[in-house]
Amino acid sequence: MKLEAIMRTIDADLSRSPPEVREAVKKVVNYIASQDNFKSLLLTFAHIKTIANTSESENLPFALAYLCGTRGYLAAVFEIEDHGEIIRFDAEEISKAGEIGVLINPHSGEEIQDFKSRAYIHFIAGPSWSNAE
Amino acid sequence: MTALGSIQTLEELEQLASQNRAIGTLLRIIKVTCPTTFSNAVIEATCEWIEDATRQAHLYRELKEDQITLFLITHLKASGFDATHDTVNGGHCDVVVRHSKGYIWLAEAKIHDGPKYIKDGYLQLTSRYAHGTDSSPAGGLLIYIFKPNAKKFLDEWREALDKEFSAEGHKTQDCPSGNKLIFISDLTNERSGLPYQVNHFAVPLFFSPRA
Repeated sequence: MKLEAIMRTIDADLSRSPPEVREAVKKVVNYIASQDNFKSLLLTFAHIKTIANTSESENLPFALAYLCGTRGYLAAVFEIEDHGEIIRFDAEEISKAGEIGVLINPHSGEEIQDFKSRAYIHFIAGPSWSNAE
Repeated sequence: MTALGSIQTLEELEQLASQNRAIGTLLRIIKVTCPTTFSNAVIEATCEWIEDATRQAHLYRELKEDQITLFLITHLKASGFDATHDTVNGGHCDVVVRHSKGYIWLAEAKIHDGPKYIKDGYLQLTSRYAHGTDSSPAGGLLIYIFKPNAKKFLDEWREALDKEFSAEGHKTQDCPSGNKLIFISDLTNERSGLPYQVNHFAVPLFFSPRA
């Protein structure tokens, strides 16, 4: 999908949202589009706050919810250090672990203790960018 | 309160989500893993819109069904959902919310004009639009109520539904969240033969200030 088409979609989707939310969303999308290799993108909340440059309590959560929503511009991933290795889980794996209260290390087969406090959230380019290739 | 920009872990995000509605929305979006969590996320966002609409009931006084529904669609879009109005989906369903993994949540909307009119919407949803497949196990019926005492009208509709559809296996229950302006009906979808669940939302839009 071309960047101009994405911007038009954002304008249409967020036509009644505060302009600050729309602008924050566009800044993050522009940032992703400007990367040579969006597949290696790994952003923290702090990174996105800096890129979006908007209110943390009001606009940023709505902008992030939109970006992570069904348009698929961003996707959340979770990294946990366990027995000296960094393991990456997608949101589905973490969410299912949250439902049953247990997360298993896929390499050792052992339960990862206190995974919620050890699951570091990052954001990667979402599926819409892969579809655009 | 912790700022979102300093959040690092899932635990911190969950704590913040309990204090900030917008972050709650973000967390629900992130956690969609299946049709049920998708439906739940859409239902939560719909409830948020109903709260806002109720607070601003004066803005909805002159509006028609479709115009009111457009406000909901706008809210859902801004909350990260791919929501559309009047998409061709076996007809013209009022609200169609799609997920990139193929999950679908449908809703019909009616301005309250007696149980008969609401019943039409319920039948349109459950017998015309709902596929009732694994990817679409739930939907909603929005009842816009411009008269006082929305709860009374919702209860009347529930009573009518129980009376008319219980023999066909439709069973109603209170909303597990405790929200008294929502009830749930469970049925077997005629087309798929699979369980289908409808959330019935009363949207109180009465506005008649005495001063």
